[in-house]
Amino acid sequence: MNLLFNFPTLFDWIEWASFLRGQPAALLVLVTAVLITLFWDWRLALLALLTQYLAAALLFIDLLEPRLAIVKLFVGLFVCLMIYWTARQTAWRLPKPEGVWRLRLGPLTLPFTRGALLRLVGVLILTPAVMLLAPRAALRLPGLTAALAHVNLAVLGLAGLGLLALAVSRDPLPAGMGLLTFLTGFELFYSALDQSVAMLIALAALNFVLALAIAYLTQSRPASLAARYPQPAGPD
Amino acid sequence: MPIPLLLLTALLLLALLLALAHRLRTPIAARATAVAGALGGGGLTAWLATLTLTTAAGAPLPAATWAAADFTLALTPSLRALSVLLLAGWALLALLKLRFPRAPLQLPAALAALAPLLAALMITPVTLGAVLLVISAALLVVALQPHAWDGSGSVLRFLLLTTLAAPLLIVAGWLPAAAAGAVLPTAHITALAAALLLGGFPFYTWMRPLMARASPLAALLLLGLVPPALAAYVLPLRAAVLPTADALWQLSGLGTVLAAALLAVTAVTLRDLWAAVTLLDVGLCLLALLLPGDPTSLAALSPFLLRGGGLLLSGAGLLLIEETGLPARLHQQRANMRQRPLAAALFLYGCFSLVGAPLTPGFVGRWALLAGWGATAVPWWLVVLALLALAIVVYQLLRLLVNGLQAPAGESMYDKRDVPRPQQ
Repeated sequence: MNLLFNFPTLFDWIEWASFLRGQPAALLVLVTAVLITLFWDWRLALLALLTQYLAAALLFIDLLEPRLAIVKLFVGLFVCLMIYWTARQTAWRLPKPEGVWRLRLGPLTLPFTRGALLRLVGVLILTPAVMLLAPRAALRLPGLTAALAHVNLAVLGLAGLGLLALAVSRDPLPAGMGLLTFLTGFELFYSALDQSVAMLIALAALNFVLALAIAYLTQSRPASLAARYPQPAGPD
Repeated sequence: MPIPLLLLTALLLLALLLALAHRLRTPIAARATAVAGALGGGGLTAWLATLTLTTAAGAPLPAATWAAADFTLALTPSLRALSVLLLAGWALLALLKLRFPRAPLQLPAALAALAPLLAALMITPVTLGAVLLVISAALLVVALQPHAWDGSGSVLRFLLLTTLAAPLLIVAGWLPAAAAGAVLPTAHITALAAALLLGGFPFYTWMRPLMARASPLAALLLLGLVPPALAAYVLPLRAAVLPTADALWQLSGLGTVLAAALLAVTAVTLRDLWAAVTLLDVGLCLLALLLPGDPTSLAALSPFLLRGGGLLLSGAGLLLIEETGLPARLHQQRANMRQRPLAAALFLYGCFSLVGAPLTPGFVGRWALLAGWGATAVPWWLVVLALLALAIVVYQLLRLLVNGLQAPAGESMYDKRDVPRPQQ
């Protein structure tokens, strides 16, 4: 009972994570965006997306009231849950396993396709470019003052890497995660411009609806349908 | 209950009822859904058309507006006219679904998608409308049933591009209020958003697979019914931030038109040619949006509404042609025209309407575009290239028509060029 009454409040959690606020949160968001863009494995990408929502919530606290910022975190957690169940239901895997090279790192196996190589090159170009250019005053977005330079870095990184992820992916799951990454970047930017509750609710609804649409498309792709409803073997 | 709220609730309730009937998954239930949809859609259309929204002096009635805490929904007479047309279009889709029950299209989801689409047009601030557009696009994804025609990639691209347009539209909607036009290139942002949303170059890539593989009903929904509403959303934004024609916008429209000409030249099947004709109209409609005029009037949307008419005719013709299982390749269409003359005539008339040939409904839109180009300072090279592309597509259509009507067997233009000769 005592534990229930002494359960940490939202502000206690924010205080506990204060060492991550500011630049570390922006860098963490950038690392997760890189992992999502590379999309080695859906479980790793989903874990990165989850971490991204947690780190982005710390950035939202710099822009919104904490009670509103926490809504963004809960939306992100539900989105991750929806993507997790979709990937589990469809037994998600790369559509053409024959064109995949596998890199073994201890217990971890990292599949590399031609698309993954393209992603790697894109990430290697884009990430340093964002880190070099984001601090420049000319590239500071409206609403983001010099004190919010780390948010500017996170916005540019998330938007750029999110766009890269959805540009190089043909599959709904990786492209969808890229889209959600891009949207997180946009929400960070827009939170600096407009803090209205109506827009917050609208963007939350947008995230849910998009996650549902991505789940629907993932389920309706031919590879998923074939995995769920295997055809009986022919006479030969 | 305020009229906007009543309209949206009625749409969603009807969609829910139809979805429940659709769940039964029997042929009779599918037909009953289509009949109920046509009757319900027709009833809603009639109710909306007879509503009184303004007083005798022209002032809006209080019932036509619904104000919530942070937003307002208002149904203006011009918006009511557009809503009537969209609902009538959906009721026609339901009738076509009754005639062609095997064509993949989920009617309830299509109707549900109309609710956020109309709400996006009614809502203030416009930034909330951009979010509603994406919600509508997500419902359209379900309506298109991509698993039935192997179209998850094409539909995914449509969803991604619509979602990418939303942040741009939000920023474009926010900029005039914030008077911060100098910070971001507002004209380019609006032009990019319009190209993403309305299928301008290079964002039209989802259209060809849709038109090549999906049911013509799906193409009619996504390229005939939805674009007028999207254009109605974009037009006021364009008028607010873009006083003159924007080069990026013009290039996107022209690129789409040229891509259509290329597609027409390389067309092998009837559907390829249909896609080319539609893509040409997409590009020309994008260019037509740059013409001066009242952005809130229905006349500004007439090119998009005429596209809906052309697609309805050509799509119905294509469904009738494909129903018989006749060959789809262009050089085999002479047989189709002889066996199904009415279907072929319907298809060709619809296509000629899409390109804007005289004696078709589409001619009005093309004439308005040419007159607009004459009255405004449009670069001459843009006009020349657009007319050249138009001429190429018209030539391909005429070639199909002449080949089907006149050439005796073995001597047609297609036979000479495309059919492989037997080995000696």
